[in-house]
Amino acid sequence: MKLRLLALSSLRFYRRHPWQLLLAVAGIALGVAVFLGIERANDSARRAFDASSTAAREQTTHRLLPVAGLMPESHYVALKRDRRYVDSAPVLEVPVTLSRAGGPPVDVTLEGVDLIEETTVRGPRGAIAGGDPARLLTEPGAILADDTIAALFEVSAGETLTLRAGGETHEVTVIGTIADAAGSPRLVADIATVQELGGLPGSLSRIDLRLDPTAAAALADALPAGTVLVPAAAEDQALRQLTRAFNINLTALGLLALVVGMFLIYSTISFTIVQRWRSIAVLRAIGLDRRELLAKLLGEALVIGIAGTLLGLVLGRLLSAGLLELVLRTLDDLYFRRALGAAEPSGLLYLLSAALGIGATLVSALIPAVLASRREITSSTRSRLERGARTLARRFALAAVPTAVVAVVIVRLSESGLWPAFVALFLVLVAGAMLVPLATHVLMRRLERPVARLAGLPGRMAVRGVTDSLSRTGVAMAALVVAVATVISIALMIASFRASLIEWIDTTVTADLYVDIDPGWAGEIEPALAAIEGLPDVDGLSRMRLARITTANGELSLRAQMPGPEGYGVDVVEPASAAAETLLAGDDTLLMAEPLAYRLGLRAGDALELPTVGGLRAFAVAGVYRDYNTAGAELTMALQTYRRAFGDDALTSIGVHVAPGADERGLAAAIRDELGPERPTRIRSTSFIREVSLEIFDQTFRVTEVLRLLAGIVAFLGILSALMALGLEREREFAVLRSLGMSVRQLFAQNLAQTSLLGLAAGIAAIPLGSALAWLLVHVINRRSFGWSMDFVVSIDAMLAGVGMAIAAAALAGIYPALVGARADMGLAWRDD
Amino acid sequence: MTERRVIVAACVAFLGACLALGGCGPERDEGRAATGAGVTGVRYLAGGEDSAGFARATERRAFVFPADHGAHDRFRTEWWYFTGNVFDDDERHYGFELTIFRIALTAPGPIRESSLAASEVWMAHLTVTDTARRRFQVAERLSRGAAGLAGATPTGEPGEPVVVNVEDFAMRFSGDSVALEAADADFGIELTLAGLDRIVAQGDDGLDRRGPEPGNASFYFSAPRLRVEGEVRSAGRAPVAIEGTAWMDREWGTSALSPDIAGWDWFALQLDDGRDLMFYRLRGRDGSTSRFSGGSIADAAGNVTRLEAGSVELAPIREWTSRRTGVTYPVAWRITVPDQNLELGIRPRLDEQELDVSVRYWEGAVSVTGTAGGEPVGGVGYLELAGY
Repeated sequence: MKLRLLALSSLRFYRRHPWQLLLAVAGIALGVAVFLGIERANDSARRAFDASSTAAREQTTHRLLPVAGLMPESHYVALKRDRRYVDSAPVLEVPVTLSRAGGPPVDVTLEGVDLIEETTVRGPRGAIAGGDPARLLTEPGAILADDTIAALFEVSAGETLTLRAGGETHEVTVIGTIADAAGSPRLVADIATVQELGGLPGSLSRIDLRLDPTAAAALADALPAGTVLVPAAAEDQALRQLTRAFNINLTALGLLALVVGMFLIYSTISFTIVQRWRSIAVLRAIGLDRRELLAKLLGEALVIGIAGTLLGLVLGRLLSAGLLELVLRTLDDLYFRRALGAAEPSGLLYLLSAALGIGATLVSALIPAVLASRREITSSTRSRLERGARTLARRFALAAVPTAVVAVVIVRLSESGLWPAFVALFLVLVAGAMLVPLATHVLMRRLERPVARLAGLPGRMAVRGVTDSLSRTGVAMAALVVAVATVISIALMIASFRASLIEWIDTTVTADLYVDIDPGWAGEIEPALAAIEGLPDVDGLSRMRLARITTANGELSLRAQMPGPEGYGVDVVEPASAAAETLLAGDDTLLMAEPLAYRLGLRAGDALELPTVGGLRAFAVAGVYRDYNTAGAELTMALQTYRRAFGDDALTSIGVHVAPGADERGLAAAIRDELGPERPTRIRSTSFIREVSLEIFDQTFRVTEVLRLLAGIVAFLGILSALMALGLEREREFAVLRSLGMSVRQLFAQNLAQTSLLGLAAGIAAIPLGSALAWLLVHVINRRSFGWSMDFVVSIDAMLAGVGMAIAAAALAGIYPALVGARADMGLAWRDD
Repeated sequence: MTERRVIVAACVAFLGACLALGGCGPERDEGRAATGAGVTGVRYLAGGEDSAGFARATERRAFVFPADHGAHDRFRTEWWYFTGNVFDDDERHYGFELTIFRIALTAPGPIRESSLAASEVWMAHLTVTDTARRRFQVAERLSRGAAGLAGATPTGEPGEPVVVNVEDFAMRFSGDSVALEAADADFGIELTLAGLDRIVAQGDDGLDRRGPEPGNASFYFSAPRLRVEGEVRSAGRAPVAIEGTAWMDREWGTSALSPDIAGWDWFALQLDDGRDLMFYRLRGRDGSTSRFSGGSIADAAGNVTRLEAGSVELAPIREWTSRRTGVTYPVAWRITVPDQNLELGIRPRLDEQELDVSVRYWEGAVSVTGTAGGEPVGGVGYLELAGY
């Protein structure tokens, strides 16, 4: 009987206030949807990533690499004739340029493989469409194009492509297409064909091997001259770490959405309690004890939670499809690796999401429900309630301080690790939210006079309305501040990153034109370079050699440079304000990219051993420089140092510094002439490099932008629900005002002004909180995730956008209650009390 | 015994490249290799474009050594086939097979700049049958024929050994003997086979016809009774010294099989009375025996009698179904050669001697019991069953 009565009273309340119910359900549904969407996308991406990396490496256990440059194929033949090393496959990768009529040339990788060895050593590749694969062996110019290239050049089996490689132009026949694989767009051909096209007969880039531990040890003891053996997993491990970091970041964002959803529930339940206080008091008076009241309120929350969660699961499933595409693309852009495709996540994820959704609802309903059940029946007057709210606001504000301190301690104590960093992030967020009610109160007190001077009594009333209903506005404000702060922090983080990236590109890309040196260049190169240096409009040249070396820490790329007039183009972060020229002047010194230094735990002054022609040699790490390349496993040294240590005199490219105002196009043509027609080369302008880099960057962060949008939607719902409840509750107040002679228009304006004021206040409060969160994202979370350091950029735009969003959300959310209030039934004012 | 290997080889040409690319997806079912894809293989070979530029076996020729131990690049397909039955000091039986196939995808063209360039695919199979431990062990090597990865050394100087290899599997012909060396992780052989001086030219004095058209033929000879010495390693154990007998088949040509041939049954038997019998039956899809089937019986004195398709009666007496592939093979037989008054029962040393590699077939050691002219006779041999 009692139970039925209780259920009826709940039912009746929500029937009268369907919007309230809907918003609460929507809030939790969105929270669950965003969480599930992200996790599902994450999970699929992770599996796809695992699948693609195991597909590529399931069989390859080791790589035999040349210490520098290329290695002779005789090493491969020798391995193949030894039973222990029979599972090996040769690879030769050559950069080539594809030209096409009516479009710019495109740089791709031409990968030479032995198709017969592919399955035994490297695992199956994607399917080949069209064409008899045997033709790759028998026809000198036969190639396979991956789907990307096939689509870009609109070629199908049987058609030809014109490519430039090894300093010559070749016509090749596309005999079929192959699914996109790891890395940049590529052409695949037989190893012999690639040797011929690249002008590199007898050379290999590396040998992939499948070795058992005994064979690996045996080979390591008897390495062919000038080679190193590396486990294939080392490189993979670094990638895996980065991906994990990326996934954790996304998960944290998903959880954030759920937290905002919790605020929604919290505010909804609090409102319903306040609104129903009279009926609750009656129920209590007729014998409902505290525990029963608590059960009733939590029961309601449970129903809302289940409904919201179910809806959220459906929405999340839909959402994940879109998110997955973005996540995969980001992984692809970040790591230059093509995931194979989505995988269906386990059912466990749905269970987890459901548990989180329902759990979050109950937890957020618990506080208001407990407070309500404890409250004395007689304390039901509004004024007492509000006084209580102000006390509570003060207590919360006091509690915020230790919470923030705990956050700082956690960051300080944990040197690395992402989860502590995120815990700290959440604690800061919560601390910020706890400060909001008191801050609102104080802010409104301050605003009262200036607003009154500007807008008279209605203005004063608008401001007073906020403080006088702090029990509700406090929560609404907190929800809004949390959401807006999140949005601002992400925007600030992206802005910081983007600005740092632009600066990094500007520092790194010193020359105006980059000229690739043909790897098959035979003979003396310096006379040709001297000729280029002598061209009018050329201010100077920088010479660069890129090599891949293998160390105990895996495969590293080594940039050996003879700097041009603008120096090395590295942004040294450690030691502070040191010049690369000075640091690299000494013998056996190098500079290390920041992510690598972070990963290896090395600092300026430490040493790193590298395999040189004379055996392992220790190099001094003279400094650490910024590097936003994803793998980031890069070292820089002076070209002389490199040549001495590695006995490799070749060059990979030269940078041409062009006099200001010179015609780059004309100069490029002149350089081509100097090199001679027999050495056509690739010349890239740096403006192009900058453009492409930023494009990739923006694409990478598109998924983050989408999440920002979602957080915005949740925030909007939060404020809408809070303000509507507030407005509805004040129906009687409106009626009084109306009957006192306030016009509908005035009432509408006053109500709207009040909600906008709330939005403004929330926006302003979100700025310091958002900045604090952004600081954590930039300096702690990004650093721990990727090893990147970046300059914190205070982007006024991002902050203003946040404030604007808060005001817009609040104003929009205020329209409906204002309309309702304006139409208030004046009779209400005098009924009853 | 000829076409069967043409088919095997052709399958490799087609499937090998296909498998290597992993591009065949679900079709990577070796079950198709000898049946469906076998037919594909035949068609592949029968295709006119592929025969273009190759030499053909049209006239009888004398075999010349050591040159004919090496490769005959002008012909499309070629193989070196060794099978043998050997025993250790405790009279435990082992069987072995080491085979190398050369399959040219196109006729030799101009020499290319890259020494890895190849127009031939080479394949090798190694098996060791460990009868006492009831184990059958298989390993395969597939390689391009280039740069010493796989191939045969040019046969210039007489007295210089001819080396044929696919990666680490190698055969070294030197004088009248050949050394075989091939191993996988857990098993392998290191053997010397003597007696290459006793050669049996198969078919019409070494020219074995495949079809009615001129040139649709192979050069084919056998060394039917080689004396084997050396070591066999099995089941991851230490090598054991063995002795026994082996059979070598050598064949090359540019022939093609009729598409209505489903497969073949090949017998190579060494009888106690000193006679060696080889017979292959080409099975039509309707179960009939092709008129291009045939074989020979050679006695110790060197007299060779040709066996025509109709002169041998074959009856399967027991079948075995592979748990691995689900294919059923007739593994025990009764062979009757009325003209020779021979009646032989053929039993496998081990039922499970199926090779499930790039190409699927059954090839295993067998024992022979029966009567010759009414007198009891025994023997050893190898049986090959393909197209099941």
